[in-house]
Amino acid sequence: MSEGINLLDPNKNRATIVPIRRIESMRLIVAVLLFFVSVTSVILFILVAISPLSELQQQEQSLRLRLSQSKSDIAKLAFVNERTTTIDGVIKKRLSLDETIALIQSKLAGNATITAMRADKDTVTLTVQSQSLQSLNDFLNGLSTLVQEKKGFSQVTMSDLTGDESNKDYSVTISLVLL
Amino acid sequence: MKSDIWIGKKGFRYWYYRMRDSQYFAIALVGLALITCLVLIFAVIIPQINTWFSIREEVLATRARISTLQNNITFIETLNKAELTTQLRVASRALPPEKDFGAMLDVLSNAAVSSGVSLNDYAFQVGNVASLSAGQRGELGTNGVSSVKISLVVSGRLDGVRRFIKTVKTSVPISEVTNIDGNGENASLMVQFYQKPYPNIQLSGDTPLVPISAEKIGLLSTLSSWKNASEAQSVLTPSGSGSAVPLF
Repeated sequence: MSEGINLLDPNKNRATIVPIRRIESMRLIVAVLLFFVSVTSVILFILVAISPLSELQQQEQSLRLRLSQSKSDIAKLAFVNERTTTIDGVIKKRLSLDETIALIQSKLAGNATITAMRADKDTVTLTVQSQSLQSLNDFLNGLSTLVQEKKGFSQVTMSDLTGDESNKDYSVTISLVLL
Repeated sequence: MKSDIWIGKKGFRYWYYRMRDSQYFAIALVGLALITCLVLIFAVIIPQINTWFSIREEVLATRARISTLQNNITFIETLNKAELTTQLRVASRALPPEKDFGAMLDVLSNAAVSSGVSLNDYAFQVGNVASLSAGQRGELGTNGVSSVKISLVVSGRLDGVRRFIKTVKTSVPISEVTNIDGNGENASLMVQFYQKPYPNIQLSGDTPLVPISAEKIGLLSTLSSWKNASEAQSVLTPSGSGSAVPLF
């Protein structure tokens, strides 16, 4: 019966599966980690709790309320900006046929007169009549100069030239391509 | 004997002491603490960090909105309201929100009087019949600008026609002479008057209010002078149907 009794632990000197020193270091690491986690949690909780967001949102609401009292003025301002932008665009893009006519008239020489004119956004077709071929020649030269100087027109084409020697009446039909 | 001897019932205490004295106890304790840490990191710290970052972003955004709102309030409080109303009136006369046939006829009439030509005939081209019945909607161009075309015949010399075009160009509502077909003393013109309905403007308050630029103020000043010229011409012909323009 007493053969099986042994008060000393037979495994006492047996080596553990993990060395005690390593377990100690693991304990230390875990303790530090636990401390770090706890402190971080608390800090984050405080940071979230003391956030000024709610105050800022209240301030924003009160400012919005104050600004809404000037709603009509804001709308007026927006309308003025919108209108003027559109008007500026329209004015910049619209044709200036009066300037085109003035430019053509400035090149009329002698007794040359414009007897017919057709103009649209791309071309101007006109008939000029004169009792002198020299006047018509000067007029055509003047238009050529405008094309060379890139003023108003990009192309001049003479499509017709008629003359009545008995009445000394000459007319020329010209097509101008607008710039 | 190779194994431990336990005398009595092998209950909870038995297993507790067996575990505590075991070589796995220390490892299990470390493991449990490690798992707790990981759970805390993933379940508490990371969500809190995300929350804090989102709150921080929201705070920054709210501060920016507050700054914009304060700037807008300061701007609107210093704005000259009477001048703004006048500017809107000038801009709306130049580009009316709806078709103003009376103003169009006034422009043509005044231009004819001041340029020394007479108007023989005119016709409105506001669109097709379906559009007319649906509220006379004209052709919608770019930026929502619509137009009403008026074809008219003027009698006069070319200089007069040129002055007429120039006067129409410098009158409000803004218009454009798009075609000329002249022969002899008569010229057929196509005049296009523009209008644009007021857009739906969303007033959020978050967006900074844009002041009217110097360029736009200059444009408004020009438009105002055009308006004054038209009014001055209207004063010259109070009835709007002077002898030189029998049709009007």
